[in-house]
Amino acid sequence: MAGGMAGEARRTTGPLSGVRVADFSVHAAGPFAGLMLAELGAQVIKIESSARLDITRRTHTMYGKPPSSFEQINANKMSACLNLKEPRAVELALELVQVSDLVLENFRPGVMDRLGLGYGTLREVKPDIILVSLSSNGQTGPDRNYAGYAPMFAALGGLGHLTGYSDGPPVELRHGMDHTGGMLGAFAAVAALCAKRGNNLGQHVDVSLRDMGSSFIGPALLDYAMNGREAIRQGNRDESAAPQGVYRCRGQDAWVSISVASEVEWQGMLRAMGNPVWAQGDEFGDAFRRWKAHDRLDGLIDVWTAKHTPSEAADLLQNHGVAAAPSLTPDQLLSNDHLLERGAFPKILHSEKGEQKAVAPPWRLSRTPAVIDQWTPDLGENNLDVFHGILGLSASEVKRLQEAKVIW
Amino acid sequence: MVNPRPATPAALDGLRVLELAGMVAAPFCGKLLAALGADVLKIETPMTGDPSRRRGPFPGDVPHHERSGTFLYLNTGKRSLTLNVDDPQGRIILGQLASQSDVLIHDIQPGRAAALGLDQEILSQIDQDLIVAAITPYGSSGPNANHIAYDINVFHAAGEGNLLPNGLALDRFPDRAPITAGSFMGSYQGGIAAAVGIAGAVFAKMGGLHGQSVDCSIQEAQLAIGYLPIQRLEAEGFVETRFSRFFRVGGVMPAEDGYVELLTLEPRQWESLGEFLGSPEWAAAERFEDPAAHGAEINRNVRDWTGGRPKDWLYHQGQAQGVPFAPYYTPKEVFENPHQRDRGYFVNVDHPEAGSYDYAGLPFRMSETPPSLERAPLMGEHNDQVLHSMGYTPEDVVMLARAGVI
Repeated sequence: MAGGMAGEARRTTGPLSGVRVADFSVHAAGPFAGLMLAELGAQVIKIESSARLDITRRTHTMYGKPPSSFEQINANKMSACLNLKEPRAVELALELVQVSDLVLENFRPGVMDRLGLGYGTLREVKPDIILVSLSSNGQTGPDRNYAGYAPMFAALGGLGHLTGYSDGPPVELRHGMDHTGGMLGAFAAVAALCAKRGNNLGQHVDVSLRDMGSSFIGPALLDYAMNGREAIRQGNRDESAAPQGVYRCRGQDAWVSISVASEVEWQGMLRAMGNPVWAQGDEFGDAFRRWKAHDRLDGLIDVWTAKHTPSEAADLLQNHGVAAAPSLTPDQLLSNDHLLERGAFPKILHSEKGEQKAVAPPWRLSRTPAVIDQWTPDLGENNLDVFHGILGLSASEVKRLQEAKVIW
Repeated sequence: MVNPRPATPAALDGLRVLELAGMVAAPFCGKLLAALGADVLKIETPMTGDPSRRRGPFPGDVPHHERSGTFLYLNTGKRSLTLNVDDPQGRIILGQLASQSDVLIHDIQPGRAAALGLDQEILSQIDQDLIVAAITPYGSSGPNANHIAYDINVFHAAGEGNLLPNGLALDRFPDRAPITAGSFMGSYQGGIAAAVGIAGAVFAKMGGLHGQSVDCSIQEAQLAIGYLPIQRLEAEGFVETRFSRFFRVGGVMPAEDGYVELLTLEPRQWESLGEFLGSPEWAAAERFEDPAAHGAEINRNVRDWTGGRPKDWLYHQGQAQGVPFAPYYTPKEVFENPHQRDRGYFVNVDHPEAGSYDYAGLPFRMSETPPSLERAPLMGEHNDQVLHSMGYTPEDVVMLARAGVI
């Protein structure tokens, strides 16, 4: 027993407490949406099966052994098994839908229909059900059935093209794209819950992660619409600030980010650097000149930052009103004073591994706190809770269905 | 509202939102709420407005504060009131507006927020039913809460920055600085995460609870999204770096006309890839099972093969044969893309000053409460409407303008 929720217990603290979610999603984007809803207090039941283990449950060539690093993605949830190839399992899934508010899935379009769990069917058994579908390309359009993973959404959407060194290839945006899609799915889900609470409306929500990639480059797309100009990646630079960059500091692979967006900030930076001689003249006297001479300027700044550790440089610059922050590594994040003081890494007891740090929910809600307090449950850990406790099957019937590989 | 809304209901119809924020993160959050029917009133500093009004892109490259693409895109569907919140009367108006709102979104760091009277204690006295969401770089508490930060700083303070450009760092640029995702991605992530928390608080309020404060740290939003390296370290003791993080098989591949992404995560996809490549020995299925031994060779050969072929050919032919390819599309290619056009992703928006353009649309659909995209407001476009509805006379409005309050 890794985590899991006892009995029919509902989560009590978050704004979504009382909401029940049937989560059929797999891999990263969908489960992350479910995680956000669970952190906000929804009772999220992960429906999964030994017949087709979620990628985070099995040894994987790319990811290695069933990684304990996936403990977080299905945290706070219950796990119930259904082998959806069995008609009785589909019936049970529909019974669960009848007592749920929202269904989450991220299969390719059409798969839920083939499973007998399409929106039309769900609506027949529960007229105000909300179905949230996350997919690479959306539920419509000629590419809808194409496979997609995180870096591919960013590539297709145009965000990948805009990330990277100006003289290098585009850069893969990794699992963050999946999870951001999950965050977006969680937003659409909660908005649909509001519509349901306000107007008793159920509906089908279609979240496209490729469209999300495009929605992050809205201004670049307008630049093309307005001027026919194609924006290109430019490393750490941005036209709104000069200098701006990530600069080498004292220490092994140590870096500080700096961004100077105004004349006042530039003056502050000069003071922080001890008013260097090279900045006395007009060469870097305004943002335009600094932008035009950015390469040379970066070299001069590097000489100064190289004398300091990232936090020394950042502190000096902050003291003079300049935006600067160390480029933090995972171990530095876990020991970061600010994050620790804010409780960004709550400890959760793991039955086998003892206390392990999780990453906190990204909101501090004063009246209805969001929490993460239980690790990903074991496969089927809550079979009895769900099928006996919630759906009312007898314990012996649950056992029989387990033996028949329906609850499996 | 400026524009008539469609006849269909919207998910957040009737929600009154006050937005005191600039640039990307909090305005994107406000834009999402506006698209779902919330009445979002944006407070802008008189004369200058949201800094994104000066950022561009501008039609014909002629700078104009009503024609900046960044502003036009991030503020669709909102109303605009110019208000000097440093002025005593300005703060009174802000307080009055807050008492008539369901949600106040702001991006003001705690030191200055307290000086403006925006800390929760004061606002909760104004109205028990107000939801106050602060969307700030490092959150509303902690030693760095008042640190000045832009998109690049938060992105590197949240961990993902240090891990980019992934394996490219090893292959091509071992001596270069880690980079920042393009187009303010981290700020968009902060805005979406905040929107989730706010929508949650709205849902709770609809269920009969009072308002509350929602402290949204953009750093923590990115950390939540990028939790995996933290978990790998905590659970496995493995410190991920940009030199260790790459796909041993697949990744960014050159194409004749740009780049494609290739990702074969499942055995059936390796098999399909082998067939797609014409079943060469170096791409035999068993070689994929030991990526540490064979990944580099496979990738080298795949690069030679993809480099001579167009990216759209690789995409469509590859996908048809079960090989997950995706092209790195440029803005033009996204803008003209048949798939997104077919989905109706782009929305034509007409703006009285900027003109008529196709805008990137909303990245989700709702069958019963479809989101909508309406034009961004002119600076102070709704001053008269808002102030008159609050009981200020036309003469008062003139005086407020003269006094620099609005």
